[in-house]
Amino acid sequence: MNKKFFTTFDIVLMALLAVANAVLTAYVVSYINKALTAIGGPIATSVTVGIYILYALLAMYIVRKPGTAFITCMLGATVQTLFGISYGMVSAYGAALCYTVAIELFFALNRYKNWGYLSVIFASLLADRSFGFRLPLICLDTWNGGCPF
Amino acid sequence: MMFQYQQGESWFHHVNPLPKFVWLICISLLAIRYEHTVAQVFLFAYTLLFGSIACRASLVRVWKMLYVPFLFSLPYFLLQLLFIPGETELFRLSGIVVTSEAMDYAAAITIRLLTFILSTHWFILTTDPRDVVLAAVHQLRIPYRFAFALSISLRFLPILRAEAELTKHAHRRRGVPKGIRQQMVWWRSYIFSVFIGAVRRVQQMAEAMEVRGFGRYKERTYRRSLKHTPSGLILSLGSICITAIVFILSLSG
Repeated sequence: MNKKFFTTFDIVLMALLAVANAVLTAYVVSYINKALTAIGGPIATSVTVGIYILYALLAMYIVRKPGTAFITCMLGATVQTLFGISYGMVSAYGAALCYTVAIELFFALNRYKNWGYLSVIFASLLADRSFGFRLPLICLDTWNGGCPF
Repeated sequence: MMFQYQQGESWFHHVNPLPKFVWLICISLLAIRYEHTVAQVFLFAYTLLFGSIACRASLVRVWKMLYVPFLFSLPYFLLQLLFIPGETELFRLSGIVVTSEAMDYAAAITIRLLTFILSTHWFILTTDPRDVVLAAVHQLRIPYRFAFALSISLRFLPILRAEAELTKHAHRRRGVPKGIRQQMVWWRSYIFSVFIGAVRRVQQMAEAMEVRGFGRYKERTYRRSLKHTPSGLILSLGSICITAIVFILSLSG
């Protein structure tokens, strides 16, 4: 396996996962998410956050090369934008960048060698809890002068 | 796809994807920045007016396009109205207190959702996905192998849809499940089959692309090329300037 460069198979696979995620999030999850935000706030919303990071993590797990999560997330955000996501373009790219940072950082610290069950769970937890959920909220709260998002 | 590119001769059709992207970012930034109804109504009206002039879209068309998102946003508005806390009582509805803060926030967030969808629609309606790939390669200098991934993503959708339909029919011929538990088992098996089929398709597509020499050379030639146009420059600079001014004003006042 070519460990350094992305093969055509890797690129097509990332494209597939990006489009599958875009369909799921743009048409289904974003509306459910908005309804959950209204009912239960950020805690209820966090139930669906896993679906948003699934594709990047899956791509990383299959391809196992540095930059996979970044490319997949950027592709996903672009396709989401082209499908018309109800959160807007900035939110799509912002969230994608946050997930990327968490996933890439975790596997970089592992030197892209540890692909066990636990390590993937930790990566998803990091993306979900620390970056995917809290960081955008903190940024938006600060930006909006302390108002709840 | 919810919205699709349609050929046309409007002004926005002739603008490059990159300035349109900048415009879309500016609209998104402004929409996220404000959580008051007045600001959101103004932004929605601007997006609507912009679309009807720059994209030559009629109000009937806008309504047809916003009909489904509007139906989705109504329950969302009601939920926000009932659950957002506030102090100033507006009215009571069979014992439930509706506050003006909740009304303001609910209306703002709902209109914001429609603004996001409307602005994205103008972009999609007037932008050929092939131009997005060209802009990524020529103007953003993204390596063409990755820019083409975007093009592949957009082509995957009809393939995935057809594959999912075929798999669904194949599964149905084996019997329709009854009861929630069986339905859930059926759905799990169905989604898994679609996913496996799609991965198999990835392999076929990658091999077909490599056979045709995709990725063999560092550079590739293009039949068409995108150039920066004055209208695009005006659109992007104008959007950035207006957004910056609004932000400075809102931060200072």
